Amino acid sequence: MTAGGAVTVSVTFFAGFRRFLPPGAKGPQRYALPPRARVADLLDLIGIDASADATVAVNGEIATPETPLPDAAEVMILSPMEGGAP
Amino acid sequence: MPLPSPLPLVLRLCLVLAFLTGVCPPAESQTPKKGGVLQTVLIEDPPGLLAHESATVSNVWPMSPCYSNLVLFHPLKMLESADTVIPELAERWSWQDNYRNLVFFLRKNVKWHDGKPLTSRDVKYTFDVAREAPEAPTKFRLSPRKDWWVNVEAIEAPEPHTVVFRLKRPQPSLLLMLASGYSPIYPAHAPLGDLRQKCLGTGPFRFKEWQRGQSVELERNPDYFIPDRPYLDGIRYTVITERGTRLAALQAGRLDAFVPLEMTRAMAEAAKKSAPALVITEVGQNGSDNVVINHKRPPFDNPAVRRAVSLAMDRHGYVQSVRHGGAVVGAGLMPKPLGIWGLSEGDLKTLPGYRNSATDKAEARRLLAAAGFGPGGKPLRVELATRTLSIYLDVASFVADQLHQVGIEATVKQMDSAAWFPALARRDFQIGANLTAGGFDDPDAYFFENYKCGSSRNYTDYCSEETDRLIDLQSQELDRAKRLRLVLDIQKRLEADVARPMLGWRKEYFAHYPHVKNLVPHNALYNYGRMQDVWLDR
Repeated sequence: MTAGGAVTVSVTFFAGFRRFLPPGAKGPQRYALPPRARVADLLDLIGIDASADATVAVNGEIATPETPLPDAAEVMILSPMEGGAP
Repeated sequence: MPLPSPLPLVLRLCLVLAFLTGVCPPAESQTPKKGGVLQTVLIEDPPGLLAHESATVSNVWPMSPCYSNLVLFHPLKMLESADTVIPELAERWSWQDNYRNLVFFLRKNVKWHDGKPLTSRDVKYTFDVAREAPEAPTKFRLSPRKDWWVNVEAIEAPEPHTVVFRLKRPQPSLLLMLASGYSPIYPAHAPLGDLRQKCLGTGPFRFKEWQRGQSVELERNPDYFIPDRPYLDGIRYTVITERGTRLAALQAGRLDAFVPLEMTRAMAEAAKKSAPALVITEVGQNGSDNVVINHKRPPFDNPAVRRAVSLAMDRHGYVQSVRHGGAVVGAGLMPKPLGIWGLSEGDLKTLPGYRNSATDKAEARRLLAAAGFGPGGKPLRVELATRTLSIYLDVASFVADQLHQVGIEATVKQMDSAAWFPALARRDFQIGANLTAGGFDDPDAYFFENYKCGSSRNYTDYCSEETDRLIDLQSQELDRAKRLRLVLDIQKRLEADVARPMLGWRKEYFAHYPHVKNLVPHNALYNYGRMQDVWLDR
């Protein structure tokens, strides 16, 4: 946990979501958020519209906008999932 | 020649439905019963227990129940395709970046048979070793399908249950490769030397005993990650090396189910006559009978001599005499309706070696004479290598006879599996009668493995830059119709170059007794051995 209870997460962008990478950046990016931040807050911080057709995974689990973000979480922002369990 | 007859109505319905939908439905709605040991068979002792080091069903059949893949071809669907791929260790997956990144999310309740948890590190380890990546911590003795993974740039395990395959170029078929019986996930914590003697997987059955030359036994994994599976208490694979003895064991009811690969149409008819209760299912095998010619060894370094060999082969005669109608004529890939990528009958009829046999043989003799062999020239004597298995020897006898008819005298040299595969890998042969089976019905699986320059299983050492370019091109083509056109052109090129004379594509006649439920053969022989849904109704 970072100072003041804030959380820092690592975000990997796939497909069209790479356009949200900072200019010149490649690979996973780190973002700091306030305590008790949720996936929706992260998307908002990055600038991804809440209505975007995105799949977000937090530590290997498919997440919803309401999913809380633990400190040091590995987040992936992907185009919609294709195969596997519903 | 009639099929084993009369086929039970349910089987006839099953076959019709299977070709229409790829699904062979259960005969009736029954509640699976738990318990019992499935008795099946091996045609030889497994040459080690590592499927990734292997190229034979003698390994994959008994090892499939011990391991799991990321994804799997649906066990109850006979005709495999991208649409029949289901989750196994991967709970979900997704192609990203126009088929350049494939992301898997793993199940979180999976344990190895020794109790340790499965993580993404195991997946990365398995395929880094298989593709001989620079960062791989160890090496297989032989990685026959290394070329399946040549397009993988990196495998990342960003957290314990996420794996990303990063590709150099788009490759939709990668998912199918991962669904093959040749793609089990291995434990990164177990030395390969141990796994050659004893399997340690995450599959529905765990290792019990391997008595060399006698049997392999597996027992139910009580911690399998799918609740209430498997149904069986265990599986026993008895090694019976003599074909007649194997068949007798099946007919006598000492075996519940046979082994993929070996049941020919003639055997199936004999078995059915003796044991009418047997269920025989006809399906494509994705396996070809072919002639491997060492392009670098005299006299086959001469393209005209190679062409003469191909022209000498009467493909239709092979279907009738060797496989008794239980095969179809085809070129580089399995033809319809057994598969989806092969050349049509109309195309085949225009190709040298597939036309009128007398005409083709006459041309073969002319080519040999021009090369200085035959009447008036040097006698041409060759050593025709093959494996000491009856299904191979059948092909070798036929090939030797066909060669004799054009003036090539072939002596058949038999080799057991332990000698055969290394000899092929070292290219220590002149010409061979060979069986090749693909991991699944897809051009990437067959072309990369068997025809790319430098591939370890490209036993003939055929090498063409243009063919390689076209193979890469079809692999990344996302439009299926365009891909099919490329694939058909490649097959015609392979014929024109006499890359590896094909005789035909075998059909499987998988046999089991009706009390064996949910054991459905697929149109690729390596992919239905998991046994997690199989149960015994007795």
